[in-house]
Amino acid sequence: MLSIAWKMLAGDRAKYLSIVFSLAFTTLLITQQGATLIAIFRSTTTFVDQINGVDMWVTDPKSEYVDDIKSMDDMAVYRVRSVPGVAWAVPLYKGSIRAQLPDGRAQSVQLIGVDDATLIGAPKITAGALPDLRVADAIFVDEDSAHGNLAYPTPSGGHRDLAVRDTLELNDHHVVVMGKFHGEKTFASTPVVYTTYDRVKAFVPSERKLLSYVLVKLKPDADVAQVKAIISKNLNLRARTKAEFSNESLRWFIVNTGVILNVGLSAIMAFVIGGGIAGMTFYNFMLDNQRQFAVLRAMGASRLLLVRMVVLQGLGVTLLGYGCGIGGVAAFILLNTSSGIDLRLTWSLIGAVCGMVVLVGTAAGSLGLRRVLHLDPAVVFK
Amino acid sequence: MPALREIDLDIRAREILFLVGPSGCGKTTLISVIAGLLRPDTGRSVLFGTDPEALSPATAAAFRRDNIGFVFQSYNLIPQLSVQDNVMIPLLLQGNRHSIAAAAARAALVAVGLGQHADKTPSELSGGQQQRVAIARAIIHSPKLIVCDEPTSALDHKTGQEIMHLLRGLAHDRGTTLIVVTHDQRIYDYADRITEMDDGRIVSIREPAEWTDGGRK
Repeated sequence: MLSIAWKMLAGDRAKYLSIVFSLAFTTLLITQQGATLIAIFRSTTTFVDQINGVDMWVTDPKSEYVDDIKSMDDMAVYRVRSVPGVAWAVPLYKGSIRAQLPDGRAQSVQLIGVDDATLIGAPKITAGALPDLRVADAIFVDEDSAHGNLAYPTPSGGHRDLAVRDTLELNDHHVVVMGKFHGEKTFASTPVVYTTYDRVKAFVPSERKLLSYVLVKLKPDADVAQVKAIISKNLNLRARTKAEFSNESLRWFIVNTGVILNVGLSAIMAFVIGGGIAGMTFYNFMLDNQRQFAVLRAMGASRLLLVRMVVLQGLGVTLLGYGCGIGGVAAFILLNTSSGIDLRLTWSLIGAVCGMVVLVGTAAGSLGLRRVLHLDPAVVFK
Repeated sequence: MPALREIDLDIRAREILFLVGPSGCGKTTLISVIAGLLRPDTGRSVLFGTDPEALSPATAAAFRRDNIGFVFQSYNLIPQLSVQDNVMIPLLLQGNRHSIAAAAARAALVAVGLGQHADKTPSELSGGQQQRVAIARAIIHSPKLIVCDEPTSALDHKTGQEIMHLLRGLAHDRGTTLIVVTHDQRIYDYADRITEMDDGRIVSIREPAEWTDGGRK
């Protein structure tokens, strides 16, 4: 009888397609908005999250989030190293600088300077070798930029990917690309260039203080709270664990921008409109088929069987619409990998949207089922 | 105001009983009670030795499923399903396998003269053909009782006669009891007995020979 139930639904082509399309549309919009939001959130904390092996980030006490850079004196690194419980501490610079390509094109880039000795904070490279960052004038460039904003001019007037050994200028300083890396997209999507901390001082000589962060590794037996307290009280700096810094940066972004409201509103509207249409259509289908269900009851279908039939119809059409929607988003992402559109389809998002869509199907199915179960089978003679 | 009053009716096995009377006289209510779709406020209805009222809802549903076939005035076929799928339903409700039900449905459709229309949808058939499908659905599980509500009222005279001829033949062949609610005096000859109702009561039980074209003798 379950195949009959499915044929009853699928046979009503207009309503069936309308429900599937509405749910697919709802799923697609909610997922797309959610994936966009997740991508934005991740990009705000990417810089903190992608540097591994660091327990603590030390900043100026007034620095609220990762991009709120209030530079410190280089001496801060040495002072942090003197704190009991600190295994090591290295400097990290983050700032902007102007890059110029051989054809005269200028591009603002994000410059990151890592500790010369340890190269802690350097990215995982995909071309070249990590120690090459110590070669004179060496920089690493992210692959997306090497392909896009920093594409290298060719003699024929075209462009090609920026390659290892290519040269450009950073703030009128000659630099050589010695490696490329696949970096997470930043919120501003500007090219990211890595070099050593000492070289940053040469590239950005006009600023007296250059130290953006001090990256700290704690000793195994260190008391995190105590180290934070000492850094705060004795050094007048602010220390946060990696997770704290990442979370605080994200929280600042959420609280101080309208992104949640805007994207969330779109997702809610998609849920209400698309889900509402799908729910109403399914409910109308149930109403239209009340007589058929009454006939089945008269012919001896049990209540349990009718429940199973409605559940199959509701669940089937819901999951079909949901699958089409998720498939649409996945296809959209796959087809746009090189377009710069950043969407993050996570399992938690997929699960959450599934829950929302199933809620629509369950609500509509429950309302319809309630009417079916309260049907008077004698209505078949009327 | 009770819909039925003082009903005392004994229906014989394998007979064709017509219920006739003016609109609102209680014919439909009576067959609903007989079929176990309505429960009487007082009194009892016993079908094949079983009082459906004494059964749980699930058991009563199973009792209807196994013992009763229905033919409705408006056919009540499921429009989204093929003719064959519609006819299969009683067997599927009994838990038979799809392949078995499909084979039986094809045989039932052949029996009602619609063997070549199995894959069509009800809307592709004429009214008479749809009623034949409904009959095939009613007989496919060989019920002991078939309840027919105005089976010919939506059909022209010739088709109505054909439908009743078919119903009577199938009922006799299978030893099925047939209860037919009708206003159509042109088919009274197909009855073994005619029960006339008025105002919720049975006013007479006669044989067709006791009726004239214009009404009672």
